[in-house]
Order: sequence, then C-alpha cells, then structure tokens
Amino acid sequence: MSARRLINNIDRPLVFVVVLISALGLYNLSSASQALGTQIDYIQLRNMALGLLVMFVVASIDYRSFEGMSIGIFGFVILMLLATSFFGTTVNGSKRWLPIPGLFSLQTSDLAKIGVILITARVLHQDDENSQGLTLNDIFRPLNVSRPIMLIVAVLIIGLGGDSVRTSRLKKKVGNRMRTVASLTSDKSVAIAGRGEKADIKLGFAGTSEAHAQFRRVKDGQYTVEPATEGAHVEVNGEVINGVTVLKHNDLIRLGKTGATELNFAAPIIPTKRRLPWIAVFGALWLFVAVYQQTRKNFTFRDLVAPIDVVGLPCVMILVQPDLGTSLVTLAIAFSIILYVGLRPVSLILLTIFSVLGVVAAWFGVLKPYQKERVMTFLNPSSDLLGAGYHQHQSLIAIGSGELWGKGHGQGTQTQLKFLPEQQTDFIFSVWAEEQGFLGCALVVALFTAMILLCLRVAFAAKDRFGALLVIGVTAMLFWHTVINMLMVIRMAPVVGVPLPLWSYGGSFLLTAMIGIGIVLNVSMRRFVF
Amino acid sequence: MLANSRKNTTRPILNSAFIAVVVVIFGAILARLYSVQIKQGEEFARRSLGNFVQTKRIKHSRGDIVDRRGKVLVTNRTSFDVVVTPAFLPNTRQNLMRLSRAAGLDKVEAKRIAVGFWKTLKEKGPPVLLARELTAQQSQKVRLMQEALEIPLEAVPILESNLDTEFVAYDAYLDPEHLPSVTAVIRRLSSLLRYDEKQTKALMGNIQRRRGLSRYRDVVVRSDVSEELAARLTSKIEVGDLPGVSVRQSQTRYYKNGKMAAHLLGYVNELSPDEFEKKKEEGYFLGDVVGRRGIESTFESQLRGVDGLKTIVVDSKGRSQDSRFASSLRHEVGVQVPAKSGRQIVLSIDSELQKVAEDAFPGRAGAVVVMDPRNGQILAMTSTPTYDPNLVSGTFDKAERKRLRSIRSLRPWRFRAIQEHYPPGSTFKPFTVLAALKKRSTYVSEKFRCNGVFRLGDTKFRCWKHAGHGHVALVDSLAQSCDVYYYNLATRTSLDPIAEMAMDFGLGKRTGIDLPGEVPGIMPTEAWYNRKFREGYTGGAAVNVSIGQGAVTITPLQLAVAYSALVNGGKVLRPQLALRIEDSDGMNPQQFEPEVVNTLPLSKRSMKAVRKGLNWVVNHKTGTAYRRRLAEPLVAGKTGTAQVAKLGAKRLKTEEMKWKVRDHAWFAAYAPVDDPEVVVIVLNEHGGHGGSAAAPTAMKVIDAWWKQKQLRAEHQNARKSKLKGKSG
Repeated sequence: MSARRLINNIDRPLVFVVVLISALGLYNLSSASQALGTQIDYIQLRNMALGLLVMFVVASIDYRSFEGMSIGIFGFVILMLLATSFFGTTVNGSKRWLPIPGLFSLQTSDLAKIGVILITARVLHQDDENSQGLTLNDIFRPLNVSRPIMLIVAVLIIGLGGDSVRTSRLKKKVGNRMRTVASLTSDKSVAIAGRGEKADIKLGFAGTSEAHAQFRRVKDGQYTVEPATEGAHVEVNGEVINGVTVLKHNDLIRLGKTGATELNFAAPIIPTKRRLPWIAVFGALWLFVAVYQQTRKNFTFRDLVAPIDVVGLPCVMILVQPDLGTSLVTLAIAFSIILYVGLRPVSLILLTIFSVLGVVAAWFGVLKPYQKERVMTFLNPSSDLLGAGYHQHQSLIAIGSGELWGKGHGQGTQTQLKFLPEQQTDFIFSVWAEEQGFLGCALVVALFTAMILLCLRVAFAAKDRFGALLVIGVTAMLFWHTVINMLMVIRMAPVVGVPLPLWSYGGSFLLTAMIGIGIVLNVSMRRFVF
Repeated sequence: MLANSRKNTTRPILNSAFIAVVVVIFGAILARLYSVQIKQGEEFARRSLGNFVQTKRIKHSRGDIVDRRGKVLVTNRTSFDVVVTPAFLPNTRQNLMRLSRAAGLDKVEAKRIAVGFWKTLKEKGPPVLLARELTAQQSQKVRLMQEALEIPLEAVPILESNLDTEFVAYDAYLDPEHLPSVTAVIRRLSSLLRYDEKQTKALMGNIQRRRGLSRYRDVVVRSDVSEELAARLTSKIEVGDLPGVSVRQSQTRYYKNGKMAAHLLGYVNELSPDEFEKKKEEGYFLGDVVGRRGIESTFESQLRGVDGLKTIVVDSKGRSQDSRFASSLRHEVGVQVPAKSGRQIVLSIDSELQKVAEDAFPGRAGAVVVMDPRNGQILAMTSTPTYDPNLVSGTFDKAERKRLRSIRSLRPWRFRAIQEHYPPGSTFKPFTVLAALKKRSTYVSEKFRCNGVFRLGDTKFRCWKHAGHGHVALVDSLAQSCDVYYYNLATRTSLDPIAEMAMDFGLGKRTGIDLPGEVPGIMPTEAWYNRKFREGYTGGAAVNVSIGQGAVTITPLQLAVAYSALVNGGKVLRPQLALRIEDSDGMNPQQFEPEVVNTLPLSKRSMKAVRKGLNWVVNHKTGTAYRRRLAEPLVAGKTGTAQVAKLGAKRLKTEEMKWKVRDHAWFAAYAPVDDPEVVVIVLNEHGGHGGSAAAPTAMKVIDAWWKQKQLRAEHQNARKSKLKGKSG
C-alpha cells in the first residue's frame, strides 16, 4: 500500500483533538510561565515539536513489526530503570531522573510505560480464540519460574534500604498549650544505618543546654549508643545507661540532660529487614518447586515467564525509586489491557476481592501507625501529608474561585501570586480552571473525553488483536493519567505526582504521550490493511 | 502479517463497558468541577481574595499638647528600633552544603567540613580548608556558586597550592569571619550595640526559639536607638553585612521639657493584654499606646487619632507585590484610608510660669498652683518630686526606675496639687472669719484679748505666739495670724457654719478639674465628728478647725479655687486646664468656657475687711509675710503653718525636728491687691513656717508673672504704635 493511502486513512478527528488540546495546553502553560518568570512555555513548544517528529516516526513504522521489537524495547527500558537506580539524580528524596550527559535528564519511568504496553500486548495477544477469557492462573501462573524470582528480586530491591532511627519531636504540655521542648538540631532524620556507620544526635533544649549522643553501628541490627556530652544521659527502655551499651531492634531510646526537667527525645529503632531473610528462604524453596515442575515438561518461554512478572518488574523498580503514582499507573495500564483481553467473570471477582482484602488487611491489621506513616513517606517523600494538604487546598481555591467565567488569562491570583504550588506540572489544570472558569473546564474535559473515546474507537476498529491491545494500552495510559491528575487537583484522590498528558510541563512524559499517540495513529492508519 | 496474530473480534458488551467507564468518570469530574466552581465558587473566590489581600494599618500620630501661647509641650518624634527577622538570617547550613557540592565533595565530607566550620566559628579560629588541589575548572565552579549564593568574596578564599607539580592547583578555604552565618551576624550586631556575652547569648536564644511562621515575625532587639547608631546600622545593612537585621522607624511620644509639668501632662505606654481585651472594640490594637495619668489620660479619646488602612497585595510567601498585575489588583479590591492624626490640646498652662514655679520651689515635696481668679484657668501647677515622662513612656528606663524607687517614701507618682490633702493651717482663717461675720457682722470691729492661751473647759489651746498678741481685731488677727482670736470666734459660732462656709468655697470637695484621680479632702462637720468619734462633737473640734487644724484637710488646688472666690466677688470656679481642642492644623476648635460652680452672697463690708487683713499679712509691718513683700505689684496673702505632729512639752525649732514631723508650710497669695489677676498657692510639705518656706516661692512666681505681663504690655504698645505709625 502506498504511503499516500496511509496518510489518507489517518484518524483526522483524533489528530484535530490532539492538536487542539496541545494548543490550549501551551496557551495555558504560558500563564504559569509568566507567573514563574520563566520561559518554560517555549521549552515545552520546542519539546512538542520534537515529540511531533518522534510521533510521526513511530506512526510511519508498521506496528506489526513492534511485536518482534517488543522484547528488545522492554529489555532496554529495564536497563534504563536499572541505570536510573544507580546513576539517577535524587530530587526530593527519590531517584527518578537519569541524566544523559550533556543533553538532558530523562524520567525513565515514563518511557517504561511504552515498554510495558508493548510487552503486555505481545504476551497477551496470542491467546486461544475460543477461550472464555483469561483466568487468574493465566495471569499469575504461580509455578512459572519467574514467580519466585520476582519475589526474591522484589525483596532484595525493597530490602536495600537499611534500618534507621526514627526521630521525633517530643512535646511537653505547658499550661494549655503544647510546646516543643526539644527538637533535633541536626538533620530532621538521622539515619544511623543503611550505609551509615555512626550518627550523632544532638538535642538543643530551651535555653542553651545541649545533649549529645553518639550512635555507632556494630553490625546489622546492632548499635551502640553512648552519651557524648557531659550531663547528657541516654535511657534505653527506661534504664539510664552510662557509657557504651549495645542496642537491639525495637529498643526505645531517650536522650536527655541532667538538670533538664525531662528526658526529651524518644526514638525506637525500627526493624525493616528482620523478616526479609525468611522471605528469601521461602522464595528459594518456591523457586526449587517451580524449576522442578518446569523441568518435567519441555518448557517454552511462555511457561517460564508469567505475564504478571513481566509487568511487575518495572513496576517494582519504579515503586522503589520511590514513585508510587507512576508505579500504580503502570500497573493500571497493564490491567486495563488484561481487562480488554478479557478475564473470566469468576476470576475477575476473585481478583477484586483478594486485592481489596489484601490492602485492607495490610493497612488495618498488620501495619502499626508509625509504619503506615513510614510507608506513606517512603512511597511519596516529596509530599508529606501536611504539604500535600496545603497543595490541594490551594488548588481547590484556585479552581473554585474561577467560578463560571474564570478570571481571564494571566489574571489568576492563585497562579500569578504563586499560591498554587507545582502549577506548571501537577497542578496545571488548576491554572486553567482558575483563569478560564467552569466553561473552559467543561471544554477541556470534553476534549480529553473525546480524545480517549476516539482512541478507543481506533482500538475497537483495529484489524488484529496485537494492534488493538497496543491502542488499549496507550489509551489506558492517557486515560489514567488524565483522570488521576484531575481527581488529584479537585481533591478526590491523594497527591501522587502524575502529570496531565500534553498539558503538564516536562519533556519525558510529553515524549511518552506523543509516542503513544503515534502508536494509535499507526494502528488507525492500517486498519484497512490485510 | 503476523504468524499467529488473531483477528480482532468485536465484542460489543466489553466495548460499551469501556466507553461507559470513561464517560462516567469524566462525568464525575465535571460534576465535581460544577460543585466547586459554581456552587461553592463564591466561597472559594472569597478565600482566594483572603489569600492575597492584606490590609495594613497606617498608624495615626497622637495629638500634640501645647501651652496657652502655642508652645509645644508634648509631641511625637521619630525613633529607630533595631529588629531581626529570623527567617531572613543567612542559611549557613545550606550555603555550606552547596559550596561543598560545588567543590566536588560528597555528603559525608561536606558534613565533616560543616562540623569543622561551626567549631572554628565558635572559637573564632582561622579559615577552614574546604577542598585541596582543585583544578582551575573546579575552583571556577566554587566561585560561581559563591556568587550565586551572594556570599562575599573574602568568605571563600581560593589560593594557589604550593605543590611541586607542573599543574596549577588551587586550595579553597572557608572564612567563618566573613561567610554569612547567624552567629556572625549576631556577633556583629552585638558589637555594634555593645552587648556583653550574656546579652548576646540571650538574643541568640530568642532568635533560635522561633519556629515555623513565627520566624517571619520581627524580634525587636533594641528600641529607640540613637540616630547615629541607626545610621551606622543602616550603612552596614546596605553593604550586606547584616542580613536579616533591619532598622525600623516608629513614633515615640516626646515630652519636650522633660520633667516639667510631668504630673500634669501624664505619659503614655503600651496597652496591657487585659486592657486590650477591654478596648478592642474602641479600635485599639495590641502594641498601641494609651495615655496614663494627667492630660494624656483625660483627653485620650481626643489625642488618639484614627488609624488608616492600606491594602497590599502579597504573594504566597507574604511578600508585598508591586508588579503591574499586583497594582491593578490593588486598584480593583483595595482600600486606602489615610490615617487621621489626633487632636491638639491647648492648655491654659503658661510654660514660663510653670518653669519658674518648679525652679523656685525649695522643698523636698510639695506643690505650687497658679490660677487666674477671673476665669479659673490654671497657669501653672507643679508637684515635687517628679519624674521624666520620656523615661517612663514605652520601656521604663532602668536608671529612672531606680531613682524613683529610692525616693518612693516621697510618693513621686502623686500629683500633690490634687491627689494629696493636707491640713490648711492658718490659710483657712479667712473662711472662719467669713462664717462668723455671716452670723454676727459686729465681729468686724470687735476685739478679743490674746494672752497666748485659750481655755475651753479643762483644755488649753495655745496661740502660736506664747506671749500672746494682746487685744486683737479682725484685720490684725489675719495679719499676725493670732490663733486665740479664732478660738473665740469658733466657740461663738460653732463648727457647722464654718464648715458650711468652707464647703461653699469648695474646700473639702473635688474641684472638678479635667485631670484624673483628684481627691476630695475632708471638711468635717458636727455630724461628721459624731459619726467618726465615740465622744462625738465637742467644742474643741470647732476650735481646732477654725485655724485649719484638726480633721480638716484640703488639696492645694481647692485652696486656689477658694482664694480665687475670695478675690473675684464670690465666684467659685471650676479650675480649667484645657482651653480648647483643635485639629492638628488648628481647624475645628472646640472651646472650653469658664464654669462657675457656685456664687457666694458675701457682704461687701466683710469682704473688704478680710482682704484688708490679707493685704496686711504682706504689706503691714506686723504681717507674717512682711519680709517677703514685693515693691511691685502689691501682693496680698495668708501664711499657714500646719502642724503635723502633736507638740511635745518642749517647743523645738524647725531645723531640730525630724523632716517627717515638721510643719507644712503654706502660702496663699494673690496679686495685684486691688484687682487680682493671679492666685498662687504654695505648699511646702514639712517645710516649716509658711512665711519663710512657702511665701518666697509665691513671691518669685508673682514677680515673674508681673515682669512677663509688663513685657507683654510693652510689646503690645510697641506694636500698636508701629501700626499707628504705619497707618498715619
């Protein structure tokens, strides 16, 4: 078929909607850019142009060749994620960015989504034509070799973080008010372990007195603690110690000063790795069983690797960066594809029940409050609860104060006076809502809905299963990003850093979205081929 | 064609389910947007307004207080406060980390450097090594970072390493002396303010205690510093040596003449939190000053102006914005109400006379009142000992507090002219005479014999002159202050007519002057004695009261009012301090007219006799104040020597007694004799004899008043003749 016929077959409404969304996005970004006094709207325009180029390149290669490339691309993506965890730059406590020397930094987890879409489509498109849909066994395949390997890998990756001493501020009741009587004068959190060998904890009391204690790691899970300034005393589990004492996990340490009215600092040492070896042993046993099982028949790649593990590997790697939002979105994309392939009703119900039960049990049953808090900060260190609350509060004010007509482009007080945080990235939609009002919002929501539906149409009309699954994957990516981002800015979802496609400032996801749309156009152009 | 790719079969139910999920979720988002933007839109619009609109108060300035000739007594002056905003102090930890990173150090090394830096800073040691053997490129990086952080060049010295290599290498150092740090800033500030170790530490603690938002609130380090120090600090701040420190201008009440008329003017200081709770509704804010005592207190509501309002647009950090966008917003939503300064109060006080009266007063404690008997205006009113309101307003000056504590037995806070009451002694005698004359007018010519002692029953009442005065008539009794004459009058008149007459003159009653805290004193009646004492009223009480002893106590101001009434034809006036209240530019004056409280129907004959007696006190050679007379103008008056303690068997001279038990010296005077224009009351607490311890002061005041009057008349004549010359 000729290139010309292909271009004639391009999905014009989709292109129109995408161009319109991008144009409005740039217009909107120029307002945020003005507020921040930067040129990011031009940078975004440039990136968009680059993205467009990539998009057309992607669209021009017949998608059927992607099946062969998918394993290679997936492998590359995993390598990039691995590279990120080693060479990545740390921003706000998480490693998400891989610097390409001399050029730019790339958020590799964004590109990973494309890899996940490709590999999932590749793994799932070949199922039996007459089947009633996938079963849980089809997805999880507990006795595939990859299962225990994934478990061990996950345990090892998650287990890399070391023990740490929780630090806290102790408050003392003075009159009717709580007053902070002691707070750490050094870093907010003093990590004793991990790589650390020793740490000093210093306390300043009201006035000028100071207490000072030194922690030293002897070996895994064992520390010594000794008072380091005169008059400072350390209490372990309620007993005042003199000189060096060996600490175990879960010991409660208090640091105080003679003469000060109270012991003012308490810090339990929390175990993080204690159960990990057992899990590893368990995993090894499982692995043995799986390998034994596999060796009894002549196994194929399909029998070796469970689909869940293909998706799971990048998800875990992203999760530990840590980046909860992206990890969940990636998982959601994969599950959207699985849902489109079709789960048997019983499996669907079981899966739903098990996952809900699992989350509930974990949250309410197993985890202790400080562990929950820790999980929260571990998964999303950049936005502690207070900060996130502030973000959403300001976002709601921005959106609500737009009312029906909006305040006008460049006239939003929340935006221009910088009350709206992260306004160029996660909260870009709030800028629009403030300045263009409900009418503008309705238009944009309609446009995004149209884009998703047009993409779905392409999927439904695709000639073959692989193409359909690819498009479903891309659609799911765009959909979940749009929905989670919008729900987040209107405070119907927690703050997880998920950008709004084509709108949020940032090259990596813009490129990813463009590649995705390229894939959709690719499939749509070739719907009459065969 | 893919080998095993399946054809994509259409499955309508699944497809519809996908579409439905998309539409429902986007629909939910739209619904939420509708609820937030349309239903709660107004509420959120209000909140967004609350975010960026801040209303700032423009402080008003308090009204001035001027004397009768427009001379400023109290005004405001600009003062300078040194403040520190903890949030704007340099963030040394961050700077160190960034510099370390620029020098290519890892976290652990950076921490080690930081520890070394703090230690050196504490010990005031030499610069610390940041990094050794940097390449030119690396050192350039450090330089760039140092510039980006706005750290002075000398804080990060970079020197060429002395190594025997063919490559040039550099060593970078950190100089704690110059690298901006809280410690360095505070140390520099302390040395400028001449703080000692302890004060520095206290300041440091004060700053470090601030957490969170309160770090943006200013800490006042020292208020009201000298202009010179303010200038020195400002220049340092401009150079960037003191980040986080600023000099703030504010208004301070200024009492131009220091201690002069301190009690009368009062002072101001800040509202206490309790008072603030009560006065919130009147528009007071915490930190506002309020008038205490004196005129400052009486006319608080007039002296206080109205604060203005100014809208400012702030960004999320609370910084005031002045971009085009911000100013257009301010235009749209802002208000601008200028502050209204307080009203000016014109007092009847003549500051020259006030000064003379204060300077002329010889005693440790006492009061002088100068009043115009024609209209009740107070020309001067003093109280000794006194304080400096400049040192008392705002923060109480330590030295002044110490001084006032040392004389606290003298009660320096009391305004003796109106807040203390004393036995009037012989200055009371004219009123006894008038009461007696009212009962029997023949006393004008009747004589009583004084042999030094008067017997009533078993009690002996002595005249001050042991030898006695012989036969004494009315005029002589006043001139020589013969007590026995009055004992006779008292026993014949009884107490109540005397008390009634005295009270008609305003003795033993509040005068109603426009000052706070006036006390009434005591003018006892027979009923009063019956109520207060078990033995009830006896004739002895009347005898004692007749010479201003016993239970009768009055304030110096009451005596001024009474003597004014004696000489102005019986008009008892309400003493008046405020002549008018006007705007600071003199507009909208509100005049206070003289107020007659009581007009006494006194016979001309008796008045003439009494005034002759008072004239003789000064101008007849038998008079008790004859030695103090003036050539011009002719002064009349009455001395008083009020006994404080019961006399012992032996009479002591004043100098031999303890101060506390000495007599109060009084002198009540008026001048000129024939047409009095001024009444002067002098009370010298425990001063001794009225003729020697009080009269000289009164004479000095009257002399000054007279000279001033002459001078003014001359001026006026000169001006008149000049005008005439011009017109002619």
